[in-house]
Amino acid sequence: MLLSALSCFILFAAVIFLLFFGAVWSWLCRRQPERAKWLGALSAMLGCCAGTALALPAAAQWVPTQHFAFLGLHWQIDALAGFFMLPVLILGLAAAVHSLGYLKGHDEHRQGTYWFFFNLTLLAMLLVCAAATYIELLLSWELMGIMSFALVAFSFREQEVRQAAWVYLLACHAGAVFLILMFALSWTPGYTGTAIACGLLGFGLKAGFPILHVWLPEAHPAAPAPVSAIMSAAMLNLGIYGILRFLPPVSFGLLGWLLLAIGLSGALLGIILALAQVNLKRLLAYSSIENMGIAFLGLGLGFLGLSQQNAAMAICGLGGGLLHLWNHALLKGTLFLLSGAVFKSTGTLSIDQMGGLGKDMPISKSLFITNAAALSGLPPGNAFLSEIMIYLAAFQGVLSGNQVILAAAIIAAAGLALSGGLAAAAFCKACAAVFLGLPRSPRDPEPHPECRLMLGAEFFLSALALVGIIFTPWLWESVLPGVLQQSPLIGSTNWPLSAEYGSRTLAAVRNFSFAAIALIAALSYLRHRQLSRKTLDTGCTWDCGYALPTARMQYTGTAFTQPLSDYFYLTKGQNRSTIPVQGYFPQKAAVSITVSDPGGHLVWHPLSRLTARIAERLRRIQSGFLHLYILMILIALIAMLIYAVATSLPAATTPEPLPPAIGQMHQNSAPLQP
Amino acid sequence: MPQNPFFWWAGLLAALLLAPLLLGVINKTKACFVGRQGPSLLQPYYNLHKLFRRGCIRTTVSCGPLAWAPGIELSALLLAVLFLPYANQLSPFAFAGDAFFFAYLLGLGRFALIIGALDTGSSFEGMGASREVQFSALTEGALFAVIGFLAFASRSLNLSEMLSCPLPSNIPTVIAAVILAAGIAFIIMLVENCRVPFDDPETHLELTMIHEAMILDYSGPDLGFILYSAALKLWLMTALVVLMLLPGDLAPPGVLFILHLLGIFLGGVVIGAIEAVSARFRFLKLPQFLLGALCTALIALALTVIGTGGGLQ
Amino acid sequence: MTATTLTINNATAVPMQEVPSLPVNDFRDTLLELVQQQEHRVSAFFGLPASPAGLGLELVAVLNHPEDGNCKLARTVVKDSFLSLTPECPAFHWFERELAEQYYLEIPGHPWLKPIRFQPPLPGSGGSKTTTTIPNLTVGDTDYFTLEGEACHEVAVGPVHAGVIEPGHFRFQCLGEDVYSLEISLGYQHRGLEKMLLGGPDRRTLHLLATASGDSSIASTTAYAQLCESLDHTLQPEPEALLLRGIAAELERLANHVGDLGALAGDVAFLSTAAFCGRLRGEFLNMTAEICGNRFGRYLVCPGGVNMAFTPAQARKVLTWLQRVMSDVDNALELLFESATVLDRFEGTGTVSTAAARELGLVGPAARACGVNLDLRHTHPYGCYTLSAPAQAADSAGDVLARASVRRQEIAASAAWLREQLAGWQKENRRHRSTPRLAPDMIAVSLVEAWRGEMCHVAITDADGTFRRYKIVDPSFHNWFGLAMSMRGEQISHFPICNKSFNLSYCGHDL
Repeated sequence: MLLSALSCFILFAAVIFLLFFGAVWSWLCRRQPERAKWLGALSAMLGCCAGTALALPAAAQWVPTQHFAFLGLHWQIDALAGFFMLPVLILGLAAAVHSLGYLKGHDEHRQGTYWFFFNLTLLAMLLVCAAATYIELLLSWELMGIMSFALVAFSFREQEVRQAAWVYLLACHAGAVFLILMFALSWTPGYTGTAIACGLLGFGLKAGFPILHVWLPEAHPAAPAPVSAIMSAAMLNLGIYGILRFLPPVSFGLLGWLLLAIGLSGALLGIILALAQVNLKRLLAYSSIENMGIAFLGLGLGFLGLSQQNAAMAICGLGGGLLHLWNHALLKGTLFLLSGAVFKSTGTLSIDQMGGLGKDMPISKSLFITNAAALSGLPPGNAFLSEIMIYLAAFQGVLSGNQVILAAAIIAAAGLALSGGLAAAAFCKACAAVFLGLPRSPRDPEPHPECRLMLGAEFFLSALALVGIIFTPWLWESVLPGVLQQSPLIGSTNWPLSAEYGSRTLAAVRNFSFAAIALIAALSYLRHRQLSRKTLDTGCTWDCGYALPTARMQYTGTAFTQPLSDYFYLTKGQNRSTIPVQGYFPQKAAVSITVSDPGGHLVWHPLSRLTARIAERLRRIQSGFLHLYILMILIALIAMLIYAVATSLPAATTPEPLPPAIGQMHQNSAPLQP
Repeated sequence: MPQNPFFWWAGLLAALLLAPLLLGVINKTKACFVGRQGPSLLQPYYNLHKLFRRGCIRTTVSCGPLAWAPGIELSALLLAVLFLPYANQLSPFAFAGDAFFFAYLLGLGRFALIIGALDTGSSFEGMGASREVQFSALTEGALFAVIGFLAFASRSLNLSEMLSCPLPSNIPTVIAAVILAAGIAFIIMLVENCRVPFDDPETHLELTMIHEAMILDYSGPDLGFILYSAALKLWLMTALVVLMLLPGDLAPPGVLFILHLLGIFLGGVVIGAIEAVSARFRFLKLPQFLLGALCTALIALALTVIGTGGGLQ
Repeated sequence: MTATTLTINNATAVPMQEVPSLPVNDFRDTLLELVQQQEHRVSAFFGLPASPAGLGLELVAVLNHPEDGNCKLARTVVKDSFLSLTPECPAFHWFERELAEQYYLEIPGHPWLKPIRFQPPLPGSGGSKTTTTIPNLTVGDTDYFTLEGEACHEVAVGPVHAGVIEPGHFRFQCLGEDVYSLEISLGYQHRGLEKMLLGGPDRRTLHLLATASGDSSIASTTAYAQLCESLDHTLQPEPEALLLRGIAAELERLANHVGDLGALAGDVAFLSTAAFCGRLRGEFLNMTAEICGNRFGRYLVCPGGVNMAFTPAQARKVLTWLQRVMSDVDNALELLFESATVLDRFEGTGTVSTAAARELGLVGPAARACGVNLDLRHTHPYGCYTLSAPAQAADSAGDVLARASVRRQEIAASAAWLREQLAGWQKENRRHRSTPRLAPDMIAVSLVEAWRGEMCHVAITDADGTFRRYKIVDPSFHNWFGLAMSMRGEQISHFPICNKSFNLSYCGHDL
């Protein structure tokens, strides 16, 4: 016991030291890019390995919850923290290896800067998971925001990147403000509701709630691919982690309904928008919103199950939601890393300019297609395992006998199915437009060999996803209930969560998944044997006998999803600008499509215009005459006086809590912690 | 409900062997309706036999998926056949949630076929694939609503029990709901299998095709795999509709076995009759139609809930 | 002021000298004035080497006006360039493209000067061989109009189609299902017919014309026969022969309209009408075979009369046959036009506006469906139609449904007319066969309403009374561009029914 506590502490310290000093040293060596690179990368990898050694036993509950006092702050690593640290560590390791390849010929002289921020971002994310109380959370949350901002802004010479980084920084700080408000208000009696709302907004900003998601599709394409992978696959999860760990106590029913609504709208909105994108990383970013939505959907169903005392629905929903986070992390991480390899090879992210990459990058092509299929929730992929659990949760709701729950559950199931179908469409588009067919724009005729380092990282994550299928039933039975119990929101229930329900389904799905793989292999072998005895011929794709087929005679990515995205008004109307085909003999006509985010143009742009208008009006007050300012101060003072007298509560004008008060507050609220 | 596993296995065998015959029945019905003699009932078998003996032509544009797709589609369907309760006998492979696995296996086959089609870099295949994803994505919602209805009505999460349980036939609204849901399942079957009025399997016009356009560049055994998979899928979906309508406590298993086979072929006749008398719809109208189907499925569910007073034990 | 044009009747000939030869600018002004201000149609606009060789190229225009019932001829001589009329008058655009291709004529100002048939130049083409308009003769290789934008793509259909139809290349500029423009490139069926007809008439002339467009054999041979009859006054067909030509022409119309409506039904997967009409088309072809022994009426019509005798007994047989078949046709068409799913597909699909139909000079059922009243059987009556003609069909919507319904009306009108004529067939006609001997240095014009619309044949004879130029303008020549226009902004899945509703001839165009 003592030994394990000691080794855990040593590992924890090692992680912090490795990442921190790796970062600093790499920064100091930034004039020697080669050395900075190896220092940064090695320290990141070693840090991640040490972290895994710390987080894995914690998540698997082989060691009890560890508490550390370190740097004068309190840290705690329990099953829940370990569960959320693991994707960070795995993705960190893969992204570090991938970065070595990705940064070749890409701002090479700024390696020191990159690794400085890279290591510190990883460290901050780990610290967020390890935060025991509010103060540590806020500190590391802020650190995570600023460090990752620097990474997003890494290619700052491009205007779009600067714009995206600016939006990202705003979102991070808005999130932090909401979190501070949450902590402040949760301490004030009577404001719990507002505190919960603030908490959901603050964490939701990070986790990509619909409407709050607008920074996400901006920041992810701007960041270097390995950074996008970490942000999308691991950092978004931390929003959910925050909710599970730090949200003030709230009734299961309310939270369930909220998360269900958010999850369903997020899943559908995310995937519908993903469908219409032409920027590969933007498409993947929207798909992350969808997958976060699916996880929220699961959690929402789970909380509804808790509120109904329906054990099967609770475990399937909560467990399925958490499981989906891991599955999404592995698959989306791989896809983002692959998008980096594609970018390196083509120099663009617009899928309508790509095509035919599969011949130059056969391994990347196979990895991308299999990961995309798996992320669409298709068996035998691992995301199906978590989705089927969420379906089971929904259908437990259908069977529960409560008619309101039934209605919600059936809509959730139909929505999940619809988003699955749309996800398949979006990923078919991505796979096909990037890798299949013929190149749509002239490319460097010299094929670049696929970078071994990048492939290694991608293989590593894909292999983990495959291994994940094998271990999921075990994870379900032995790990997830313990992880869930650690959340103060869930742990306060009186009855223990049992993972008995669903493990048989998972085992069956696992077995059938491997049967499917075996069957595919067997049929392919049969087909191969059959064909090896026949004449095999090659020819061109059927071109109706036309003499001069060109690469323009194939569907583009946008065209592929045009009917669907038209149906959702994304590529129609204002989003499609044309030079129309006019007259009988048109000389020039063009069509271009810009898909605007409804969250942006329906909510944020009007809001910012409104703010600007109000500010414009208010500017008149600033006349520049000192007399007027003094008059205003006078009026304000009189108004305050009247208010104070009228409410006869002089204390009501107490200024808002000062920073030390927050520290005070968290200690006061510490007993609330389990 | 008496169980006899023998008849389940017989049903599985029938599905694997008789699936092409269902296509033959449809074509024969169509021919009869318009006063033609039509091709032989066994023509689909002759076609498959011919294709499996042939060699293959592969396009030079392909980078691999074209060759993998037929095998993946057939594998997905060969797994999917394991979960239906033929002759209302519970499948030995059933597990809670196998209905989702069944639906997603069909999705896997479709994904493989679409990727294979897009691998050719042809505008026709692109067009077919684009339509296929559009309509199948919009059908998913309705399919899951139907599964939800079945789950509620049978209080079970595995497909075998959903389809084979004896329904409370004494409640008229439930009977109405079952018929409504079966109607939706029938429409889903027509969409998934690219039949009129959603697609025309007989057309020679590339620009209006869905499924046929996707497989333009296949030949030989690969095409055989795809055609056999398509036949199997048609059989499965028709069987799903028939089993929904066939109460499990109607007769002993042997009679049920005969009845479900007859029902499936009757389904083929109905499909043929629809194809003979209806024109196909505009593509632009199909999404509304499919969302209408989803709503109808939800109404079926609501009817059951109301009819049973919310609880069904 | 001297006359700028010469007015003649349909199916008549005049000496070439009488056609005023205008300076190029007057020629242009006259054509523009007639077509733009006075709503004349361009029936033919073609070139031939000017009479003393080396002078340049003689351009001849044949215009007609639906209400005047006659044709106006004008001509000019150009050296090697002719300023395009197309920007002012789109009806000329296809003719000018043909001219550029046939005689290497430079046509500055033409917005889309591309080959239409990819044919080698006709004999006597002066012009500089260095012209850039004809880069090479790979059929289908031309610079197509392209839609810009990285999301856009093309769909190229043909020349080999999945159905058993003729070859042609269709190039769609699309974004997914939305078609922005369609460009049609033909020429795969080019046989050099006009070149082979030079120096005629001889033994093969009739055969060549009977196969100019196989499904309009009767119309095409009738037009040829009328030309010969106007150029050789010894050939005067008897009224029975003219009536038999009319009967055969209406049977041809019926067979094709019924077949097309069936095909249209087939394209929307409406199986019953498709199957019935497929059979019924055969019945009409067999009736034609009953008259002349050939299902497509080949060699029935010949200069001076008809090649076959038609007995009253045969007429009675065909009449009862027709009655029986028409009741089936009515049933099949009623099924089609009463099916909601079919009407939904047809209505509002592939619309061509009335203005576009006029400006582009569409003809036949396609024009009548757009509210343009054109029917040579009424406006420029010839042969037996001078006495009576089937009622004229009309619609105004310009969509697939309008084109289908015009055909349905024409089926009813032709059948009613046929019943009347067959019932009145009293005596057997005479067979006629002779080789025409044509008058020298004449120009003759013959306009015939084929089932697709106006078919114009123009013959110019030389000093020996042989063809110096034989110009065939098939109705498809006018209408192909109309099909392209009907697909603007349409869904690509609607192309098959748009195409079938026009059902244009590839070989009639390609010659």
